[in-house]
Amino acid sequence: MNLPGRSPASEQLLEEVKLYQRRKDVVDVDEGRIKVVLFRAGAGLYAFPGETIKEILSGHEIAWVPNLPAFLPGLIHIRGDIESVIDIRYFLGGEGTQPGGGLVLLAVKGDFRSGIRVDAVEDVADIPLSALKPPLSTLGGAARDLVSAEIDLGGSVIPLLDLDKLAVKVTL
Amino acid sequence: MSGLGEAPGRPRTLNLLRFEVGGACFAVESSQIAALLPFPGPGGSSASWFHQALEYAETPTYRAPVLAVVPVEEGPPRQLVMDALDELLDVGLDEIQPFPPLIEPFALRKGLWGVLPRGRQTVLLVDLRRLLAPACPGGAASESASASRSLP
Repeated sequence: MNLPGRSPASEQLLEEVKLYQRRKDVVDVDEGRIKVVLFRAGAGLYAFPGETIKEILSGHEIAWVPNLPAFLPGLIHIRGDIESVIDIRYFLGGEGTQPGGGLVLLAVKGDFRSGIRVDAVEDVADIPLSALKPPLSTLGGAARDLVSAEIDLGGSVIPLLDLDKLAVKVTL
Repeated sequence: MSGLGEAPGRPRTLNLLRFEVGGACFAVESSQIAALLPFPGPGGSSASWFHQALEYAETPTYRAPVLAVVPVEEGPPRQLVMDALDELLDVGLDEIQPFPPLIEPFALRKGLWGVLPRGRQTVLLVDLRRLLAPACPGGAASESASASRSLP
């Protein structure tokens, strides 16, 4: 029992602290998280699920191959392995990246494996699943076909791109 | 010119001729070229040009063009204008990789069949017989003769 004008006993405070911690643990367990790679392509900011991006490569020269469609700028070799490179801007409504610039994300999901050229990587972040929202039906532009969700990140809405949808587009 | 070499227990080796056209690096198996001749100039030959056969979007600059004589399955040998050969390579089959699945269908259409990574360089392996074969989809053989007349 608390006496009038006296602060709660330390035992009571400790109980409250522990209770708070248990609640916090429960919240942390329930709140799943997802790692995302936030990247810039043209004027837009987009994300891929982190589990699909195996490496972020810089300084790799893309070897041009004749007769490829515009979304395939060529190939790179990574420690002796040859990988294709997709220019993601082709599918996001922007112009292709300039030769020699940008980074390449090595994306792998199921049987699909390719480099994806982007302008810059802004962040690799852990976000709560609750930050994922269904894509707006009003979302316009070429990116709409690639988006699986939208990330509400501190007021900014960032399209989360689906590698499966990209794979379908490039293998058609 | 020699072609395949084989040693017991070791990967088969290919004897390749490396050359560059328009900033891209290619290699062809040496047995596919019967002879290399001096290029007589644009008016002196009805040969196909390499960049036309591969359907480059832009005409590249050739440093020192040579005329390659390429035996084909049917008919007389064909002539192909290539740029000067830079290097002779003996390469094991285990050093060569297929094109990645996304690129392979496009590459094979033009006789490009493999990739040789060499340091920072990427060498594209080209089968000249397939490239020049009339049956090759988007075939170079029929169109290149007329196109070459307008080249410098």
